[in-house]
Amino acid sequence: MKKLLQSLFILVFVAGAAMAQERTVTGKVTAKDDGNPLPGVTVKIKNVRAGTQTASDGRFSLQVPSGTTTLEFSYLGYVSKSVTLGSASVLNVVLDADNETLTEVVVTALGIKRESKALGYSATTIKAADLTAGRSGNVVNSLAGKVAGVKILSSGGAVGAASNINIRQATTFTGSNQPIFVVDGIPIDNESNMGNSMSVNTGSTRSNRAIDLNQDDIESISILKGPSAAMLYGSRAAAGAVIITTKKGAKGQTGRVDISSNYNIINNNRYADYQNTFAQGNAGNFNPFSNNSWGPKIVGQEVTNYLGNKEILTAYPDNVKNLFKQGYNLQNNVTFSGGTDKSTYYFSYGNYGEKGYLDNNNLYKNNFTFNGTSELNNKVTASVSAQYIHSNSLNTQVANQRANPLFDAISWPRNYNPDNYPFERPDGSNFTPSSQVPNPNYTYWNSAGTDNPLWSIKNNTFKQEINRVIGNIGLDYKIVDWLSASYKIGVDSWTNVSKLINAKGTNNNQSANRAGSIIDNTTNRTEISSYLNLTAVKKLTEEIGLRVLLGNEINYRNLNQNQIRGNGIQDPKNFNIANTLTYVPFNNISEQSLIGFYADISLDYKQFAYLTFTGRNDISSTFSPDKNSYFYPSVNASFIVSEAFPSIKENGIISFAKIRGNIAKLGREATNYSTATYFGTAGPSDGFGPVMVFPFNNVNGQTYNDGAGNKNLGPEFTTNRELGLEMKFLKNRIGLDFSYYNTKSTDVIFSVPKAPSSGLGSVISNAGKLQTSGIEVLLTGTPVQSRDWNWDISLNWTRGRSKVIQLAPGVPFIGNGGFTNPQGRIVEGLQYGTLFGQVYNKINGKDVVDANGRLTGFNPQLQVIGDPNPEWTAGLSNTVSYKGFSLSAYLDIRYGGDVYSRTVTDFRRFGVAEETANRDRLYVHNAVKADGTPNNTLITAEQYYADLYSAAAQEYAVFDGSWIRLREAAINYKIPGSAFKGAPFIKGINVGINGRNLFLYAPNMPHIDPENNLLGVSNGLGIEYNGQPQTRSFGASVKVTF
Amino acid sequence: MKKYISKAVVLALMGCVTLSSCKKFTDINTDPNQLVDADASLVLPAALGNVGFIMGSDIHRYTSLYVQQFAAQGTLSAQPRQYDLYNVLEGDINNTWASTFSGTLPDLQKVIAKTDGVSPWYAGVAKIMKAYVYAINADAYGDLPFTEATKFEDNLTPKFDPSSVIYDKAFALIDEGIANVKAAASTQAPGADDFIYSGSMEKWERFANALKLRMYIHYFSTGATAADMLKAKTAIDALIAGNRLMRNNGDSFQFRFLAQANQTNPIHQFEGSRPNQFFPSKTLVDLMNGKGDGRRSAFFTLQGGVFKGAINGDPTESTAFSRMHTYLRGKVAGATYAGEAPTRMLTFAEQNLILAEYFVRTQGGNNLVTADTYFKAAISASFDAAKEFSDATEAAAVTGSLAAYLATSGTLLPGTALQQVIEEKFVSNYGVAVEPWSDWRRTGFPVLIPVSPATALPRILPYSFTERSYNPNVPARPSVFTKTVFWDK
Repeated sequence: MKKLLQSLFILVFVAGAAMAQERTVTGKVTAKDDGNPLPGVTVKIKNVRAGTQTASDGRFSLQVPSGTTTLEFSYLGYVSKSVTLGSASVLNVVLDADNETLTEVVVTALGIKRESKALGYSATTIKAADLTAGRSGNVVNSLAGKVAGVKILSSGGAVGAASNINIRQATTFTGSNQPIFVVDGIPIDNESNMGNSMSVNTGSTRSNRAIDLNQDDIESISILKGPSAAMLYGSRAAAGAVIITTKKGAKGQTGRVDISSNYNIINNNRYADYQNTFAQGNAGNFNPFSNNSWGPKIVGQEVTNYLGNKEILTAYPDNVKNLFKQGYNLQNNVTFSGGTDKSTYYFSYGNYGEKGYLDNNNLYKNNFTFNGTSELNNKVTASVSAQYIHSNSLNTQVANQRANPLFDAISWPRNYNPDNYPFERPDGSNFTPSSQVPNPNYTYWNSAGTDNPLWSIKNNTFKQEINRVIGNIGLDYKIVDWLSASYKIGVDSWTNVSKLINAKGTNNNQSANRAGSIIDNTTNRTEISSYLNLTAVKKLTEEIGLRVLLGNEINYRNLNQNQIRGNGIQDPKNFNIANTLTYVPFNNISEQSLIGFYADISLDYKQFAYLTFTGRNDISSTFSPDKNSYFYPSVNASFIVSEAFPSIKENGIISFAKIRGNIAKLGREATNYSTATYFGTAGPSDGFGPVMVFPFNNVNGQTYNDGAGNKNLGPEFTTNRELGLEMKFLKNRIGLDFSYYNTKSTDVIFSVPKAPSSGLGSVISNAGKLQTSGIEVLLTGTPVQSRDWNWDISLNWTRGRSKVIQLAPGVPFIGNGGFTNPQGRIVEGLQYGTLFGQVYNKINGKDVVDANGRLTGFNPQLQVIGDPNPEWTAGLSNTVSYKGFSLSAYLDIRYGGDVYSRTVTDFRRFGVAEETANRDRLYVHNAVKADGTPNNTLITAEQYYADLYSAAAQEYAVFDGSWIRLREAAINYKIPGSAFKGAPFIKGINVGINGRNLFLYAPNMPHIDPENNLLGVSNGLGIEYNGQPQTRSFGASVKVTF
Repeated sequence: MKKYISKAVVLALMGCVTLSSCKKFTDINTDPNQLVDADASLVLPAALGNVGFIMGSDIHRYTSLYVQQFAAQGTLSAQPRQYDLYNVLEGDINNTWASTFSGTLPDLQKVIAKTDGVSPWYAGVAKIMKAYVYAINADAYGDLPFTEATKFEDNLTPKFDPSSVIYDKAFALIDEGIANVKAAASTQAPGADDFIYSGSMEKWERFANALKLRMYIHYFSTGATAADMLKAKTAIDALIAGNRLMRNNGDSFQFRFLAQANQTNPIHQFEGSRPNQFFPSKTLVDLMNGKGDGRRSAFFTLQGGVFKGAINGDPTESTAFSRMHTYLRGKVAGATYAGEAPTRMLTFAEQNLILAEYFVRTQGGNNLVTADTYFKAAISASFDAAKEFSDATEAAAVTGSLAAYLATSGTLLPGTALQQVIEEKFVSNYGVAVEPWSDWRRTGFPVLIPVSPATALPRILPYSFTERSYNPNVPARPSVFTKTVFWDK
């Protein structure tokens, strides 16, 4: 790979004066690690400027004058070597990879490789080995804890669950704060567009679309933080960029085959601590229809169950645990790669299968990838890259609805063993109690209407089939030595055909009167990107170099959703939409386009001082034609102190020092169709359930939208200021990378609420201001380095805060996801997304009790209940290797970050949590009476927990989500090819064991893993709502190279 | 798709040489999913539907609880219980306020703007509707934005106008509307999209006159000035002389719902989504019990063989009360109501009772005999309308009791005539939002005992919290117990 990168970053040589030539030296330069030829290696005669470069097959030929004693070989990413020239005319050289400088080549915006020392901004590259250590099924998850400033929050343990990625806090209010994803220079989609059938109250698990990628195709991922690094992608890079480079073949490398396979078992990683002393019921009385476990002590007494049968009351400590089975994932890959001296190829096929811990949760994926390059002549190189992905998945339902199997099951009464009762009628239907009179035909006990979770798992499913193509073709044209042009056009297109089944008889928000409904959705998203770049690299003088890039981006995005919802399933086993009674169609087409022109001008002085100016002008379809063109500049500088003043290296302590800084501005697009106000289908409703749906009486109704567009809308600007320091000590054994950044977003675009009497409820405007700042520290070290032993350690630490400076005059807050309560809000002066919830009335800060000692009365205004943003996050990775063995471990640490847990409130309110078992004593609320005197009224445990953990009261259900987790660990053993003397076609075998989420320490979060987010890929954080618990996986892998 | 690929390539290679090609590529910001402009025949039904829905939603709940047609039940945290204790807060007003001011009124405004001068029948209907919406809301809130309202981006903080001015503006609108609906021709004519009168311009005219009648009778209040009453008398005499009022129940101003999911009467829907929170009030039920009123069979269900209302503000939780019945919920089969009952907004019976009141008033028509005729006509009309969704048995019970009712309670007596008229109106306006509460404010009938701990009934609704948050021109409000609406004297 590096060789390929190198060939794109060729130093320009000025031919030296002709000298007396006596002989020709030829030879071949190869890499020590794999023996492959290295193209583009600089070969110089020592102390003389004359030299050459190796060709694509690693060969060189150089005329050397008499008296030449030494040739110097240098190559980016390898240790330079001086070789004494004897009398031989053939000189073969082997170069060692320079491990210290491995990250020094960074793939920046538009896939352009830059030396990291030239960059005036923060960029981090993660290599394949680190990415796949834990074998997560979602590429976003594999970034967790590995990069300073990058927060990953998986929404839960469901198969295919979306993961939220955020780099350096939110920079906008209601737009996306997810970074742009780029594969081989072409943006791809990582959102979770699912049609309108999913909400916090309906539907199933959403995925982030980068889950489609085959991780084994990924060579490296560069994280470009902040707008400065990524500004060449325009708007969407405001939240940073995730630049993915896929594997390629190597020129001159003979064909190579890799076959790899890995298998992991998957389990729920944390089970709650339940009490197993008290049975179903209330106030000490048994009630087989109650979802509470405040019943009598379980002492083997005989009771009548909900079927009307006598049974002996028994505790089932594992009733919930048994619901979760052992899942697995299995991944197989085969790749063919190689190249001739003119071309390279890489072909891979991967298949991935995952079965989750709940039945009917699985994902099967096939990936085909082809990457190739070909030198058409010595000026033109063509490249092509294509991926085809096909996946099928099946999920059960989630969220705040009675078809979510965990809505009840996670807090099952302690005496309920589902194995003892049928969960369906003989014909497969369900029959849940509507009164509390036993009936032998009931399939569940809950008289509040919840479906039997087992029935729901079996019948309420969400099926998706995805076909996706990601590809690009490119042409590089080397016009003259110092000037080249490149053109690349790429496409990312996926189609998701899904079917959501709310089975006949289920009780949820999409199945009115338990009639069932089917939602068929076909969503296609296509993005086309085209880049034309002109690059000039020239030495202006001996000391000053100039690099100019001029480019043009053209981008077009189209989302087309067709959905039909059929209500009233007739034959309960037939899921064709035609088997329903009434239909609600939905169609949404959304397109937008962008044309960008950009320039990137870099000057370097003696390769120790770099100054780069960039500028970009966008024309975005999301603004009115007279407002749609806007310009934004940036400047960044890098100064390598240790090369400017080499004397500081003399004492042997400091080996490298660099200061970097940048100021970058970025213009952000609006949401499309925001420049006008439209008429929409009328649909009166109130907050209590009543609605009126049009068409009504065969007449449609169009109402003037109360959310107005704005033809004067202009771009939102984000300005980033950043300072950084990079230092290396003790021969590069210790490294420090420090960044401070401050980002200010102005003219933030959002729907500003207005007085309804104007006729409008809101007007989209450029209104708000948001500021974020933070510190990132990366410490790296190599405590042990010897011929056989190597120990690398890397610690990253981040603290970032974002503060809402201003919304709009008179606007106290805007919502940021969740429910009426709790909800995330964006509030002036507070951290972004602060959690608000219902709290009890207070007198002098204390809750108030009524005459019975019970908490009473909610504050009519929602109050702050928590801050979901962590105080700081850190990652600690260790890699120890001994000969072919290596052991890697990645700790992921998060301090702070509040989580509202609906699951925990259920545990406590329902009396199933272990801590509720102390019922022989009475409790007293730490509160005051209405007259302000201290409360001393004793109440029962049941009353106590019912008050504090009422579903309507949220203040006591917020927990500190701090964690330390062993996010990933892997042990690998590499058997060198030389071990297979009898089978020379085997070039190497790599075997390993690996695990993910192996250990969790979350001291302030009872019962559940705090990594759980109802709101998935959105700006909302900190709400857990009967979500599927996080998983732990553990497995083994083998990879054979031929 | 292909065209965009080729376009992108061409644009890139040409470097956007021709500006027009760039322009075309980025000129795609018109939402294909929504209408930039909608025909009046699509906008009018949205406005009508919204009014029909709103008048059976929040504002009906608040005002019918205040005036004790209904009483709330359930735990104290259930919203209706709070409303019943007069704790309707600014936040509770947000939905009904926004639905009206940034829902119905903009749509009516759009219809008027599109059709005025071209299709006067649409413009006329929209103007009459706008007058109705303003009148009913002025009755509920008092001062409202009118002259500066619904100007969209041109005025985001409208000033409020006095309620008396709103009445005058509404009268002018009605007159314009009547002239419009009486126009000889209209390019476009409302038909099936007119959910209320199916395109009958004559019925719209009759309703418009009835609406004026209702608004003018409001000038007669306990403390009305001679000038108020004279203004009303002049106008009402003219309306009677004009003889273009509603003729029968078929002319009643009401919005009919459908016996289909999500298209049923919102009062009925609330009973499904919030069961056991909203019962007929003991005040209303006892009034009807006292007269052996046959309409009870259509209005209420039996509870333990009798009609039993819930006491307003009663802290004792129970469900052992009569519930609303077919009159508000539509036909019933078993225990399932079809939900097609209309939201009634101004009935023929009410028109008769307005006229009865007018002739009872000495400074009005001052003719008890004429008043009595209208009174009897109102009772007959109300009994007739009551049984619309009843089954045969219950319908017979209603019809069969009419004669007896007329005999015992159908004659106006000097001295109690006003109370008789208003109490009859209180009964026949069961399910009608705001108006019974307006009648109580004007006349003090029926005599109501405030819900403890309050010592008086509210006389206005608070303004919406959203409006107050974003409009500095929202005036300071007196206590809701203060007489505020201009006619409330």
